[in-house]
Amino acid sequence: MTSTPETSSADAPPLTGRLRGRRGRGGGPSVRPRTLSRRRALTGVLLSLPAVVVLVVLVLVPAIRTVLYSFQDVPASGRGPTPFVGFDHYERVLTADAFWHSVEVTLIFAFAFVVLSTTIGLGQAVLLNKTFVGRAFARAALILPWATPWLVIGIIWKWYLDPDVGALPSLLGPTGLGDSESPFLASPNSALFFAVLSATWRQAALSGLILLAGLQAVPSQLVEAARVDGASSWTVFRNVVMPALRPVMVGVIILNSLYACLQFDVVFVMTGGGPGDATQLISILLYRQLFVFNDFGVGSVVAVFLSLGAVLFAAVMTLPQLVLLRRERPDR
Amino acid sequence: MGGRFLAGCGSDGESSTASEATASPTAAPTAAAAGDGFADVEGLKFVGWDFQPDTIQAHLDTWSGITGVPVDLEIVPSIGYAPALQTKLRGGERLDLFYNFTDNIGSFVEQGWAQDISDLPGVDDMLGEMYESSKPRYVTSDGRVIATPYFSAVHMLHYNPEQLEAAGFSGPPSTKEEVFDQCEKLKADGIAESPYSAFWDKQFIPQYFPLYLLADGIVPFGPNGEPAFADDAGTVEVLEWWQAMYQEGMTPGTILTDDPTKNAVNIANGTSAFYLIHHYFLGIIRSLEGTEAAKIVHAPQVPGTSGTTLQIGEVLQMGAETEGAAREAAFDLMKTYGWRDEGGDFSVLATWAEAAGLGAPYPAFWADPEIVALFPDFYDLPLISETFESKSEVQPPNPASLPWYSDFIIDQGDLVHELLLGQRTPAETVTALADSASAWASGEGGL
Repeated sequence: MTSTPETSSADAPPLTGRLRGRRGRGGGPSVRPRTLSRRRALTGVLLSLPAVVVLVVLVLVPAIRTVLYSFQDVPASGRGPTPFVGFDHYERVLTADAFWHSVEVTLIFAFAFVVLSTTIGLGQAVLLNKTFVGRAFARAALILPWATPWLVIGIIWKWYLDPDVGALPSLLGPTGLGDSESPFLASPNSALFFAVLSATWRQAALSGLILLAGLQAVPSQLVEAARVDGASSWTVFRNVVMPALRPVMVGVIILNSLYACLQFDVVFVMTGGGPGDATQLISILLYRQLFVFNDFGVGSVVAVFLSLGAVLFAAVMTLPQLVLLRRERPDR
Repeated sequence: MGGRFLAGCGSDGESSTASEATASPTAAPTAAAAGDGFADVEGLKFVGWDFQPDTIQAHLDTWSGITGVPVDLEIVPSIGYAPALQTKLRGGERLDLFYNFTDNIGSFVEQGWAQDISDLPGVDDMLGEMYESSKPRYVTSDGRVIATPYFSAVHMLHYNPEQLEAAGFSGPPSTKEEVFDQCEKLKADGIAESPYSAFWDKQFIPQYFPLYLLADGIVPFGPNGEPAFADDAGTVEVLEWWQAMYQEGMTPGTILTDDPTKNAVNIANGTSAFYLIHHYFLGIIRSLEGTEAAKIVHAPQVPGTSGTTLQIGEVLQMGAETEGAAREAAFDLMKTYGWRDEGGDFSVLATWAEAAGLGAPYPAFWADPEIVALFPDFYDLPLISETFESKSEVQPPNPASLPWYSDFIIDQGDLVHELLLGQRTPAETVTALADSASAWASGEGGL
């Protein structure tokens, strides 16, 4: 760890000729290094200020308001008194079957989404890290799903799965899967599965891009040394590549977990939360409470639970990778 | 004015159209009549959804050209329109006029986002020209007027006569039992794979629920929104039929999540022989290139013992903070938009009719030869007009008096989907729906 100028000004690089020999105020020794470091610090603060302001205004303030609303009776109009009602809204949410059903649906969706997005992304990254004809094109193509808005992906997949005109049922023609007798989005079970699959299609592309960048940063001499020692491809991947990739993998899993818990667009467009309530994620329940029912108290409680749940879920999903990372690099 | 209006729409403004020819002796009190009353109005803010935004802009430009009042138009995507609108109003943005969904108009007044316009000049004249059946949409049960028309429509059964004939039927079904029997035969004979289409998406169920009840002579809701349907044994029978239609494969398997265009494709390509939907969908069906598209027609009535159908429509509302001269100017624009312009023409309504077959709640609109000429021949306009006049209802009555109804519609979608999926019996569904309506009405609904 390097020392900061404040803690070891003696180790600071020599001053430029322009500054050398100048005296500090009162004729004492020069205080220029400290002034410089303060200036640098000030510059850093000023540069980050816009981002901090944006974060405070767009994230922190709404987050605090949401928590406050969850304890208040908020008029739908947004005008008028907002008396505190204690934990009434929390009690209402925690005793509602619809909420627990949405929790269950969200957990299933999120777990499948994270596992599929991460593993498919890893597969794509490994493949695209190899040398083959058309690799540049394939890498560019990987961006396409990621460049497509979630809403559009929902529409595309809805038509892709359509039993009459959809490509997938057509491809599966002889099997009868997805045809008009057993449409994919008509059954509560298959609707959730295909909602996961369509959202995964986009997220796996992002995972692949990030993991590909991570793979390219793995020191090639390590891989070559392992091969020289006679290690198989799988052994090299497991014992050399994966440990080097682990920090990136942790980031990808956190990202995928948060996307999973906050997913709304694709599922809403494909199923509207149906059939029945088969795909009613917490985010859809939240949308209904806040923007359809205008129930800001109860909606805020759902938002609080969704936020905490997303963080907790990301932590749980990341834990195995963090344990492995700790084993592989005790210093981390 | 008509010519100027059409110039705004891209026409040369010379051709004779409805907008020039629908002048009425009951012309609206006009901007001109208001004289310089709008001189102090700096401008109006108008929010609409994204159906033909250029045409909306042209209408507003025309009105601004006459009155001298600039109108700032903001278009919001129709997907998520209501939440976006509510967020703006909740955030304190001043909106003078905005499109709104009928189910929301009562709650908007209750929240202080929209205002009573009963006292403004010409309101009574506008209502006086309306079908009696249409008035409850705009008027609360205590007589306050809180919206004006944007467009109106009636639900009608669309069907394919050739497919029915091939199955041995001489005409469309007149009861729900006949619908089932005809569908069963059409499916068994391989004529139509999924004979019956309807937009049974969760968000649209609240239109079909009262519609099927009305068709069988059941009163869906009482004058104050009370769940009268729960007191009629016929409601369970309607839901039994509904469940059987879905469970026994008379509908497309994806009907619970299909959008209305997909259903239009189904009937246009012969997959379905029936499609129960707003009258103007016939234009959409006919415009598709399906093999059966050109054969589809309106049935004389929706199947049921009474044959009464549901009248729908979306509205224009005035923001609560619009006052003084701006209020009068805004209402002048509302009249032009949802009734007659200063020349007495249905100029704005005529463009929606021409563009998409949308209707208006005025007998004079349907009787006008120039308006009639705007509709393609396949629309049975006398039937549509008759349906507006005497064979349709707004349900619940006076929705503007029921601020809770917009919340209850969400529960309707959930509960009826559970019925269709076999997760609830019809009797349980009736009880659950009635409980939900009562809970929302008493402020106890939701989670």
